[in-house]
Amino acid sequence: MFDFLDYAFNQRALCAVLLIGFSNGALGTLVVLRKNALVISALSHSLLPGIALAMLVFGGMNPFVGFVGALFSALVVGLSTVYVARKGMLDHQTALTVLYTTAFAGGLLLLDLIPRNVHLESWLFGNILGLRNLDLWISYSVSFLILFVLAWHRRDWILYLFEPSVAASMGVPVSRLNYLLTGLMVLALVTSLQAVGAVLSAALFIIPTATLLQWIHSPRKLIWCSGALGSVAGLIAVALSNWWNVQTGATLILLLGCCFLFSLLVAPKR
Amino acid sequence: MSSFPITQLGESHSPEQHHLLKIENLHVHYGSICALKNVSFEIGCGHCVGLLGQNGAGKSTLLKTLAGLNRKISGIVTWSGRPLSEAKAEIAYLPQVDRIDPAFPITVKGLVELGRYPHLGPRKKWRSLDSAVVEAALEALKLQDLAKRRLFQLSGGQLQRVHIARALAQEAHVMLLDEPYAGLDEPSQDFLSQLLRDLAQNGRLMLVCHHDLKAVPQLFDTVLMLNRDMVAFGPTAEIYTPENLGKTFPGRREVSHV
Repeated sequence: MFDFLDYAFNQRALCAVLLIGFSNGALGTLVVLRKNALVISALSHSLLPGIALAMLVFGGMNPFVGFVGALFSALVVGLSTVYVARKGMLDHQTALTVLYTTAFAGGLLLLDLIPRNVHLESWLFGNILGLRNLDLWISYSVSFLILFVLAWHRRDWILYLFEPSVAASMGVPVSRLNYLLTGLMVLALVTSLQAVGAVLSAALFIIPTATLLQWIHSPRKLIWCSGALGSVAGLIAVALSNWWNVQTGATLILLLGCCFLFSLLVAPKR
Repeated sequence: MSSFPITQLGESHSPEQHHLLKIENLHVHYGSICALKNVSFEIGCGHCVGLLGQNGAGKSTLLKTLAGLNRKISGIVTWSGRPLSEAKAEIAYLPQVDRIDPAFPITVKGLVELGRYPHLGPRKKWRSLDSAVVEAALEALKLQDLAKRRLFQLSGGQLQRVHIARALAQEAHVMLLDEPYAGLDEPSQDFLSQLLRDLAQNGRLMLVCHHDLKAVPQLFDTVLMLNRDMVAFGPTAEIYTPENLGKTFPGRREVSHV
């Protein structure tokens, strides 16, 4: 039954999905409570020009090139959104939409310049079985960074999520946390590309917290339980996708979607 | 409901000289727009001050400035002779209740615990003293029975009490309240006004944004009237006159008979 674990690529997939599931699920709590669910979807689109540009510059595709390219373009879009929203008296969503659609269009044009490459597909839709050791090391480092920051600044985060103006009045460095959250979102997004791809990655952040929000009444517990749910769902998804011979990424998201639906139907009414 | 056992939180309240809020020639700009100018006053603890003015007159701007949310200001603002940035724990900011998402996953007690943040030290470690202060704050506002409730399960008046309990847990001497009476029914309004007066009598300084003019003399012993410029500041009995009201609310007719 578990003989698929004899293969090294399945072992790597399992490690990756446990780590990514946990760190993205946990960080997702911050994203959901800050009402940034759409932001993360938008950011995932902004990865395209970076990946395309990196392929153009380095003349090919490998995990590191893709990672650096995606990271670069998402950081540019994400951080300049925070800046543009502040400077231009625009709301955050307007600024982000302007920037990410522009970036996405740039990415589409860049794609026309490079010969079609099958590997690009794995960045858009994920290919968790194609993970290499380098990918795993990137996942390790990013996950531990995220969990460290969440644990270290726990109380700051909770106040910041609750109401930024109250947090700022108590001395929480709110604008620094804004940038930090955006930076972490981008990092986590880029690392989860291999597992589920740019299109589905937002789900990995949003659905665990959205599911547990109906049950848990403390932001701290919500953070860690969302992480655990992401991990467990990832584990089951790897097994299921092996038994049924289907895509792991899509299985994972569908599984999380079912959890959400179940919890919506069963959770105590308000 | 006449008095609250709230004096015992933190150190005893010293005479007014030590706890003095002093504002000299404060100007606040948002970009090129001047939101507030020429504000100067000083006041000690023990008062319940109403900030009166039209929408856009600078009431909220003044509260936010005192809460340390506006960095680009000109003028001098001090608390007990020190700049505001050194007195974060001393000043509690209570934004309008509808700014806070009632679905936020926190209980009443969890919210009150947030008030301890400025006292927790650099590693933010929770101590038994913190639990004791939180319990005292819940008790002072008679919230023990609601401690495990979620925010969406509370009425407007209860929610307002929870936020004040958070400020008590913060052991703040100055409480800045933005439109606390908005959306409350009459019994809750009466309860809240009694509560604010009691808090002031127990040695706190309450600064309250207020847009309804009916009950001003009953609610506040001191008023600050704003129309971007400072119109007047002082004891309600002397300052709250038809002439000043005319300057504060130009073009508003019903104020003339107050």
